[in-house]
Amino acid sequence: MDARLMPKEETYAQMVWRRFRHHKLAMISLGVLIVLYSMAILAPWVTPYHYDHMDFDKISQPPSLEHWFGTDRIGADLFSRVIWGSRISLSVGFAAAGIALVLGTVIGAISGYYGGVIDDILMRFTEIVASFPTMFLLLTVIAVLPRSVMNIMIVIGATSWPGLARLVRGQFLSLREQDYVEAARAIGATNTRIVFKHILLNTMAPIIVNASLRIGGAILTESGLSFLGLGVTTPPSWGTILNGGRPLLRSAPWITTIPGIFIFVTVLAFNYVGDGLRDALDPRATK
Amino acid sequence: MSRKYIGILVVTALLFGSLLGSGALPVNAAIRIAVTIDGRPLVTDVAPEIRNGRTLVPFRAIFESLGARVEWDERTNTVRGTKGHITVTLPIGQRLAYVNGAPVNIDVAPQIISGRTMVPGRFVAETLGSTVEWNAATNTVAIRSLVEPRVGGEMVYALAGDPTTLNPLLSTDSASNFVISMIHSGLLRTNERLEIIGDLAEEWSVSADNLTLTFRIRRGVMWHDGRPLTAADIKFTYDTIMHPDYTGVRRRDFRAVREITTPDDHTLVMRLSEIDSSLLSKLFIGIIPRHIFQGHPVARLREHPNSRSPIGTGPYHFGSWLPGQQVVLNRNPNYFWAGQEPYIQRVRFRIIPDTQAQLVALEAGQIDWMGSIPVDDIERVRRTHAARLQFREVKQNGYWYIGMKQDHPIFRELRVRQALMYSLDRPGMVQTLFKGYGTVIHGDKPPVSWAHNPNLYTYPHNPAKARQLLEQAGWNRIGADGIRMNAAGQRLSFELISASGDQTRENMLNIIRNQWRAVGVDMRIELIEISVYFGKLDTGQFEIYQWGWNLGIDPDNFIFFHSTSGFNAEGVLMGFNDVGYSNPAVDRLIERGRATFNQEERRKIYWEIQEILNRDLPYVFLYNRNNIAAHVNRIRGIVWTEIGTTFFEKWFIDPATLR
Amino acid sequence: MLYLLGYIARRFSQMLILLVGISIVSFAIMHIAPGNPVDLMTDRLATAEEKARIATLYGFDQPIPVQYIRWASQVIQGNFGRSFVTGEKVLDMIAARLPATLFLNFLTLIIIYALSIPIGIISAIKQYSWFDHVVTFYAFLGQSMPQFWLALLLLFYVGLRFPFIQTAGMSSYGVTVATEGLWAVLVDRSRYLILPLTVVTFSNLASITRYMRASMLDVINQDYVRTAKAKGLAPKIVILKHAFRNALLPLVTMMGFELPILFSGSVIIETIFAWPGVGLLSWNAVMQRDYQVIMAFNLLGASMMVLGSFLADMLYLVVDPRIKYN
Repeated sequence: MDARLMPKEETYAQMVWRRFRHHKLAMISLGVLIVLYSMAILAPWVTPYHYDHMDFDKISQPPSLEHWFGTDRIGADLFSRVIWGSRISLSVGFAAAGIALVLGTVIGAISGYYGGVIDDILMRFTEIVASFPTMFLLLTVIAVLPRSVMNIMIVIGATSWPGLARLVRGQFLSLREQDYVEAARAIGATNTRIVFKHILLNTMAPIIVNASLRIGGAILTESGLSFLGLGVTTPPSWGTILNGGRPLLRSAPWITTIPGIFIFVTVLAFNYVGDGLRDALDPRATK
Repeated sequence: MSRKYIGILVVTALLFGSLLGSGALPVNAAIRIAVTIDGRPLVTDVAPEIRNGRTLVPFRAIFESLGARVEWDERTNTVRGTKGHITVTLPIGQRLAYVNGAPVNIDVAPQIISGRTMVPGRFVAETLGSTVEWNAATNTVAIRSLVEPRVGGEMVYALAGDPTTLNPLLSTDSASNFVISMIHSGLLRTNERLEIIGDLAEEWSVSADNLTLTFRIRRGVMWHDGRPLTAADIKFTYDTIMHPDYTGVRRRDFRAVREITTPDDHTLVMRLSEIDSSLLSKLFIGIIPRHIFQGHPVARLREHPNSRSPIGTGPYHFGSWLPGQQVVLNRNPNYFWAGQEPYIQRVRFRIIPDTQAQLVALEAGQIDWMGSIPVDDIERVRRTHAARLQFREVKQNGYWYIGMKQDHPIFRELRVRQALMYSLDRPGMVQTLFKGYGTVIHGDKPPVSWAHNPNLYTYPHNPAKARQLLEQAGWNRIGADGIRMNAAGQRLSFELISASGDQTRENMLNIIRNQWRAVGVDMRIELIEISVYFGKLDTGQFEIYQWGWNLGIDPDNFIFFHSTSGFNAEGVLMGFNDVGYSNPAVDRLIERGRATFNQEERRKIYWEIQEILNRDLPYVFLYNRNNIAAHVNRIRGIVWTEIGTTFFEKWFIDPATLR
Repeated sequence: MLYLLGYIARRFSQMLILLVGISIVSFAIMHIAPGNPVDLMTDRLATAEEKARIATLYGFDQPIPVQYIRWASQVIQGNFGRSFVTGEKVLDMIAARLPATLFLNFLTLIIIYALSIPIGIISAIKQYSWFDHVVTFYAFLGQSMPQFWLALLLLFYVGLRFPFIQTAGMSSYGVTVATEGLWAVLVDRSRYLILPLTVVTFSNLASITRYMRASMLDVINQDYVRTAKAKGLAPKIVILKHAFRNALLPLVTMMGFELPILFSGSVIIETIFAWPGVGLLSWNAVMQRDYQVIMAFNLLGASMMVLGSFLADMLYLVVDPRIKYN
């Protein structure tokens, strides 16, 4: 077997990392994300107040030394709420993308590898899911089950995989005809081994890139749901805080500006990391 | 001066009185009074001041802006203004003025303040033929020089959504009801003071046994398509509602009606199976034309084309409807109320779903009227658009409350319910949540109701007393988390349910939770999708819940607090008494309240019910919220009720702005 | 050729089965979801008998499969029924709203493609140049901002500032070609279009731009382009003749997937800019359990999706002869 096809884990990872480091914006973004995630994990220790602590005498106050991000409509400290909220938003993003990643990859891979009737059935199923109105499904799920972070993650994840499944399937369709797969078959590798050892490794790049973009996408979807009053409220997600500040957009703009900036910086960072990964994982790139 | 102006005067006097009362408080000492003349602010070098409840304004500014010539007689210390054939003479320091030489007593003497001669604004303006309105919400004295209304012009009104239907029998949402109220007339209506008067009925009488109502129907009323209205149309409308296939929500309103007959075209007789004094307020419902809907299956009423392009007898007739964009109504020149033909040529309802977007449209001049300015924008809009907009406070005929299951192990103890009341700072919440535009309530009738009892106990915010009551009720141990426990080690903890999707409600519940936690009560909040929420209420699957009522103008509260309105033996909810409140004394009073048409007698009954409810506390009574409506100055002659019922037919567009 | 016809025939039959499948699934979910039209039509105090009577009138008393078959047989005859809430014919309701949605989406698509194709190409050719960085940043920015926030900011800080811009609705009352002439109508409509069009374009620009850039980079690195360059062809010609055409191909197939997007409305845009499209209509239908309207939308969405992906496959087949279909 050609050594190039089965690169040692370390060397491959090292090469990717070396290339990734060249992408300055991606590196900065990675740094930003690490800070954000650490803050989320350390929320109870870095925030001065609990997320639903409120002080009637300090309603809608602009940022100050005492309240770094100001206070909201009912006198809660926005800094504490935003940091607590990052737990929700970041984990919704991660979990939903994770669910979509698993579903999309598995379904796309099976469909693309086996083809034929299996492909037809799975692709039609994918189309059903893709065409199903997300809002309708969400409302149904949220109505039947209590509104929790878990359910929102599941719904966002379970509705956002079809694109990825198509992508993986496409990769598999073209890769399975390639010589090295034929070669692997010739030496008697089982179907499963071929699929997962060979093709999947070569499909990794677009999948990882897609997943990193999808995290940002899921965070945005959650904030869109907040607009409809379906966001996560305890603790409040960034989207919920942003939506809560909607009536004060002009009288107390910091209530919307701060969670808004957190959302777009995070999503932007994921976009850049995805961009960096795309370049780093691209087998044709010469850098 | 017509009666409506006297009405305004009375209201104004009351408001001035209340202002005077609060004027003694240091917090309100700095109230700035704005004076506008025909919508334009009156610019003065010395600010208007309130003395003895009357606004004093610099004499030169007011006379000149009303178009009067001013003279100042230094020798007699007298101000004299002349406009047309009216001359007003005001000696400084005297509570006596002269109008064309005749002496008139005034409340406050003209006086010199900060070196300026100040005169009573209302007296001067009214003497010179203007009307004066005091707007308590904005501390504005609006002076309007009297103008002759003229037919013409257009008014653009913002609606948050399309009406669902324009059939009065089927509408449930406020957008539909509002548009319908301009197209359709009812048998009865209210006047500006919320008293019941005839609309299509010229007059009515109640038999001695209170079981027969006879209505004399107005003659000469024409449908918008030119056909005459008769008693048969009214009978047809009510029969449709009582038809078993009727799919709307109004059948229960006619529960007591046994039979309706029309001895002739202009007489309608209603025979009741039981006395129901609340029935009259149900007869405001718009009448639909028999000649259009007759023969159409009742179950499919909604689908009739004229349910969406209605024909009524009201001041406006239906023009056009572009879904998601606008509904256009045109004036009905043949409106039957004598001397009340509508002036505004066209009323256009524009559909703008988002309140912030509505506000932007109002500020940008795309709409002329907005029903409710978002609380947090009121101050700013008022400041920046004072010259162009006017503001009106609309009282809510309803209230918000927290319902507690009366047989729940925690809530069945009166002292716990009292403690929950005492631990809440309800006036503070009205301030925080609504910027003060609301009223704390202590019983089941808001102040706008004629049956409101103003003497109820107010349960002032008193956490110490709340703690004491909880101790007495057995919740005397405090756990490590600060939550109380009883001797059996149970935590004072429960779950509140409410409907999701309302930011104000979420804020409100968070505040309540915080204030209860401060006295050692733990409340978890579960917000549920609204249809699921109602399902839980209607099957009793809750410990405590938060909701609000919007009420009709009749004070009958059978469905809320009568014991038979709770869950029956099979567990079916018969009314809205989902908390399971049961008090035989209240039951008897409610029954008596329904059984007489005499308002004074009923008032006494409902006052007593409120006292009992205030003691028994089936609910934690919270507050209600008032809206601030805004409209452009161009709209004149606005007549409406405190709760926002409009009398569009009397409104007009400032003739100066008409082409 | 026969081979291809067979394939198309098979796809068509699959599409039909798929549509039936989707309609069954959504019909079932809709009925399982809590809340039903009878509860919403009647008041909370309606007795069980009253509700049962209305349920019978509307056929809700039948088992769900029976209801489904009734509905489906009507749909086959082109009758989508009437809304329980408004009493209108469902098709009329959708027809009244669809033009606004199509109008906005179509214009957005044109603008997005018109912007992102050249931007993507320049970004690819001048990879890592300042142009690439700036454009990438702005594209990402639009994609990363919560749409309703962006929309509200524009509403307040642009809409209110420029009197030319109309912030709500899609046309002025009484401005029609017949009364004011074509030019006035065009000016009028564009006053309303500016804000929603800006928001939708800005938040969707990134994906196509990045896609174009990636596929362009892909092609540029291919051997034949390198060869062409090596042969001494002018860079412009290489790009226009070879790279551009080849990079455009995957984009063409993407158009198939745009079909359902063309027909879908955005609740956010329609709420904030009072745009009279289908988004709010379908959202309200879900909130009110207006079964007939929900089903019509589900079926419309599904048909467009199925048709779109069929179209994409066909285009792919035409464009890329390397893919074989079995």
